[in-house]
Amino acid sequence: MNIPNLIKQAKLGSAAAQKALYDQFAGKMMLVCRRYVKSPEDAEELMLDGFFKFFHRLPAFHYQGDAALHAWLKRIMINECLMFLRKKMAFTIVSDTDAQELPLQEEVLNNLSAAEIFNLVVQLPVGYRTVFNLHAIEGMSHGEIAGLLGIAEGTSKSQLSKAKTLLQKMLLKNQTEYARRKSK
Amino acid sequence: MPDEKANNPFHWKSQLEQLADIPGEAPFDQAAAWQKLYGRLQKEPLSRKTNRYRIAAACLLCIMVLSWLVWVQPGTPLVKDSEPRPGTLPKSFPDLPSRDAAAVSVQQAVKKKSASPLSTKNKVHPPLVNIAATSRPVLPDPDIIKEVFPPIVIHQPVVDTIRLIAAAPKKKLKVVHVNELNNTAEDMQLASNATASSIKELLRADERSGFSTGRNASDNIIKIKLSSSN
Repeated sequence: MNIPNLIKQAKLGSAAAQKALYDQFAGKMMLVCRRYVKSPEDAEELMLDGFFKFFHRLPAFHYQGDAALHAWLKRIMINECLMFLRKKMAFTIVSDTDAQELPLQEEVLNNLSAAEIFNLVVQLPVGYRTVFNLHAIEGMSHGEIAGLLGIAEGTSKSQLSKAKTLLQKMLLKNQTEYARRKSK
Repeated sequence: MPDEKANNPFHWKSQLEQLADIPGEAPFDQAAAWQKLYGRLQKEPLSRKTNRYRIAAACLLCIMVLSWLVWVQPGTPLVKDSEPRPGTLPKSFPDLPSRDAAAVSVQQAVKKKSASPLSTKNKVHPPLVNIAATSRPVLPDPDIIKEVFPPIVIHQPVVDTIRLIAAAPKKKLKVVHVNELNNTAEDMQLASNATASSIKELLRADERSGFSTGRNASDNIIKIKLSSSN
């Protein structure tokens, strides 16, 4: 069954269509939530909350392609994660203009596997991780991030800079391992 | 090595997007998670628009009823009766008399009561209990006001409030005529200092001079005549 038909059926309240859509996107959405929230239990709860909202808002959704549906669902998940982090006061983003920015060796990242990149991102502190996820992975601008998190644009930039610096340090720490892979 | 275009800065990003499972962890129980989600979906219906409309209608109705109670029905006491703070009057009733005006009205009431037994020729004012100690009408301590006047009720109309102020005080003023002075201790307390003492001095002066306004006037006249012959 293709996705447009599944969406049609799900709008009418078909449980089978809802389950099919859930099975299609649950794995990826779980990874999205885990990138923002470290705890697997919390990530699972947030994913279920996201799907709950997704099915409730589905009647008002106009299908415009699989990519648009995926992006909309991912946005719902990210919003759930950010709300959770705000409620938990899990991070206090403090403005710091004295960030010493080091250039991120993108080529090193490109040579890493997805799992390694994922582990690196998850190891970042929650504030750095959030801004890095939103800017570097989701492609949001600093203005959008500032609006979402309730911080200044400069703070978002400094947080991203610190996240890159820390990632760089972690990459350098394991440089021998990465160089060995590169030589292969 | 792949083409340099593949070393696109976002290449690692696309790899991350394609990740299927969480590395280093067992995949989460998708079926169990679906059961939880399905249970939640069954509890709450998908279409909540009608409920929202009902809630909105109920809120509108409450607002309309509240506004009707507040604006359409005047005179309904919104504030509980309360005594005014000492020395102040509620600002929401600008027509209420000020402290000075209230004191003047009290004096006028006192003066009116005391005016009747006196003749207009007699300029000496009878000893009266005067709440205002000085010539300038100034209200005494609020405690005295509370004892003399009943507490001002805010919800009453302004006219009634003024009447209350001008009403007879609880403590009746004892009006004592000059001729009724018995020089008792009670009278001494009641009479004002200046007027009472001056009246007494006048009386003594009259006695010394031989002039008398009381009894035995004829005897006194005879005495005067006798004295003048000698």
